[in-house]
Amino acid sequence: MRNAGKIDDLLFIREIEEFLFLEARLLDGRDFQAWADLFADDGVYWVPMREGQHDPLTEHSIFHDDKAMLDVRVRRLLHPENYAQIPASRTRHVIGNVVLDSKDLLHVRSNLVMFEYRQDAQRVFGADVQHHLRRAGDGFRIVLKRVDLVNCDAVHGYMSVPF
Amino acid sequence: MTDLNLDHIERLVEPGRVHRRVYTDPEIFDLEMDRIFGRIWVFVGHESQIPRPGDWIRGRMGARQVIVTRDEAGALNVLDNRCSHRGMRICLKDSGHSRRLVCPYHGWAFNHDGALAGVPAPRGYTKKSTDLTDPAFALKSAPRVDLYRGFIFASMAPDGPGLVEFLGDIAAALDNAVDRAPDGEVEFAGGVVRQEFAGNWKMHMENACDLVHPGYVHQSSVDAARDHLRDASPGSIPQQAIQMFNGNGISLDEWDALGVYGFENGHCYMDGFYRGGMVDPAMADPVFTRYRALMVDRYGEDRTAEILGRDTFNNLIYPNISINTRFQQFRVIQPVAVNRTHIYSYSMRLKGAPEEMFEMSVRFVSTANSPSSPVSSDDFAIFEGAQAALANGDSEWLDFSRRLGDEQKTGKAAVRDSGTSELPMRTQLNAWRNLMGVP
Repeated sequence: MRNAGKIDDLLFIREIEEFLFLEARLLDGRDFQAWADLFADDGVYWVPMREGQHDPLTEHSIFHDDKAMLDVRVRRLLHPENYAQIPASRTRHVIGNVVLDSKDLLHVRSNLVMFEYRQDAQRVFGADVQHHLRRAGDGFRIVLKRVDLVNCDAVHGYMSVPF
Repeated sequence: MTDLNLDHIERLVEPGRVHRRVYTDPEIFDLEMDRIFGRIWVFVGHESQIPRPGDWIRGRMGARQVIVTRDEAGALNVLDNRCSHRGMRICLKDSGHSRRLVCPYHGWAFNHDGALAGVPAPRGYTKKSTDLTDPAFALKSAPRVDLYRGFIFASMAPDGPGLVEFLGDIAAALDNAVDRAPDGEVEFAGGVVRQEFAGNWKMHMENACDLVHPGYVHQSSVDAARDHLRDASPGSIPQQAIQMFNGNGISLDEWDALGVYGFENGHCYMDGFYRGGMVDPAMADPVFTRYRALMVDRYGEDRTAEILGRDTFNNLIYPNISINTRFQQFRVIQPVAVNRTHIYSYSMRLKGAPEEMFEMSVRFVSTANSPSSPVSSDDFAIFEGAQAALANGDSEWLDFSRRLGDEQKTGKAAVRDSGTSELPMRTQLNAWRNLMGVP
């Protein structure tokens, strides 16, 4: 019996991992519209600017997009005259250390490394990522994706591809 | 090649064109640090960042790294962040509060006015070896520090025009930023957003009132916002930043219907360019309605209409401040090297206003003035492209002659022209030429 429960847990974690891997693949494949579609209508994409930041409304953030802003962002990323993406970035999102913070609430935690190559230079970002998910049919929708960059409060150059 | 040399620096700036070395020559950058940032009034911080005696923040006056302190008497001081003993940085964090400023290297301690308060084991210094009462052992302090409605400025020149005289009519922008608070005060809040680009600092200042570039550089965010608004559900009020992205898409005729203004000393500003959203006085937004009622309580109807009716976008205080009063945004353009610049962005909280006004401001910075901004990232990409292209080559001059000679005198010390004029850049470059020509 104990083994059966354990296998259920593993299958569940695997289901969630596959969702995170799908999200990463969409970003690396520059299928930004499909990526934005993973967010629920009330979904939020948030990259804080300070370690331990509680609130995106009273402190500045690197990204703080509701679904409307995600739509604008995606339309621009796909625009041919987006000068910050000529040439376009090539990215690779690597996800590890996936754990369930709460199985009931579908709160997932993972580590992220993103390589970004553009215009003769490579940047590497590391982050602690939290996903708050919601069941939608056979899959999930993102209610909150919070990306805490290791260097959140650094002096940053401009950023285009989401983490 | 050119025979221009640094003894004749004024030759690098002609009425309608500028030599590329002004943007690329490290020697000229060093001279700018001496003759501009080392002389005129430079913004170093806001009073709200150091409210109590003993508080300090780090700041910059160009390449010079300083500590801005409030001493026990409540006075403001601007000190070099460099120990008078062996040159170590004294403050290693961006802000703090302490009884003394103590160097981490050998424990030399300084008061908040820069005076040396003590050294460990002073018996090591005898009359024969060292006179610790020599003022040379105090932290070097800016000879002039002054405050304008909460904004702290310092000058490394012992004399020269006072702060009010230096600001002249651009002080109206600082006034308007503060007058928009029902309690008559603002505070810097929400943390600082720090960005960098690989280009010269002047590019950012020259771009801030350049009204030809938005229709080209920002085409992608204009189209994205316009298409989004077209497809959005009717009745929804989009956030300010999306309105602004869309607003960049007005025609050149519409830009020309706006004014750009230049003042003595290099300051300039542009009229506001889009209507709509929460901060539009004509909108019946519930938060704005509450805010406006608080303003009327404080100032009366006529004065409120005057304060909220000042419709400008970027207001530039030479050499390196950009203020947007309608969005409570304050940006500092920090030169780091001839080809490297940092931008610090702050939100100003209007004291006495509904908290939602501040949240709107924070959201605007996070969306429009952060590293992820769909607008400023295109600007930075352009600056970096221009910097790389200017670094060498046969093309020696940059052109700034659009509508040269068409400006009209308006007021005592100001000129105005139609929006697409390159008057704001010429205003800044003329100030640059005047300051850089003085040995």
